[in-house]
Amino acid sequence: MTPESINKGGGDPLETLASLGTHDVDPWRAETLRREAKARLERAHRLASRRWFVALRRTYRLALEPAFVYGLAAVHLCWTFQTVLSLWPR
Amino acid sequence: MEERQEQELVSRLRQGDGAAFDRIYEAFRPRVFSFLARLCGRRDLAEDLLQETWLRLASQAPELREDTRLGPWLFTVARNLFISQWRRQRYALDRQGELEGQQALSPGWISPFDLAAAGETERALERALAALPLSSREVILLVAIEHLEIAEVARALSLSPEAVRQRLSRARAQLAEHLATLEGRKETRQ
Repeated sequence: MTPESINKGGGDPLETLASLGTHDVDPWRAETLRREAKARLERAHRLASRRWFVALRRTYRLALEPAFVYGLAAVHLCWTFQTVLSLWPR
Repeated sequence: MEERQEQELVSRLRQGDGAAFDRIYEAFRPRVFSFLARLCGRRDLAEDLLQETWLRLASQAPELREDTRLGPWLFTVARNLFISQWRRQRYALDRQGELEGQQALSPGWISPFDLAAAGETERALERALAALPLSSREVILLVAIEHLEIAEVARALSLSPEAVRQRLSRARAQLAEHLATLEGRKETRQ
């Protein structure tokens, strides 16, 4: 099948796309990446096995981090308003 | 990979099984890399994002749900990482047009060896694909090449299934248009 035939009704371009080959990183890079990811997996599993740590991380993600971010945003907003208001003479 | 086999691998991965990770890695690495390379049009960037995607999987393995589908999960993470990177670059360098332009008709991530080995049709399709706008390209890559379900693509792109169908239809028309343009250029050269 040629580009002409794809386009002139010889087939749906989307179907032809399915036949495109896959590409890959070079073997050295693939192996380096695999080792790094497996080291990370071991560490993640070790941490997950400590239940208190999981609970702490969950609390941080669900409560502490949003509270901190929203708090910081609120303070910054107040500061912005105050700064803008201070520009006008009373 | 069959669904049952995939669930078994996910279950083992959640328990930190390195062999399960290896099998997943071998099965999905080329697919995720091809997806990223076609999405961003740069081999070096695709390699960095591929690394980050697998590190995310490794870090979040204990928290995966039992019914996690690995393909959609990996493609969603890879796509989100690319979008974050793309936004950072766009804001930092103010080069949105330049990025789009870089990808047009020039899939620079394909090595000269691959280009030589690829057939005429494959080269034309890669070029036409690279010339599509990002929103169309990501839908086409996930549906036509990775064979994800519309619902899975909708979740990955944070869109409704109807919006995905519309984008797909538009992308199909754009692809045909780009193929016609390429064909016209070829005829002009001859």
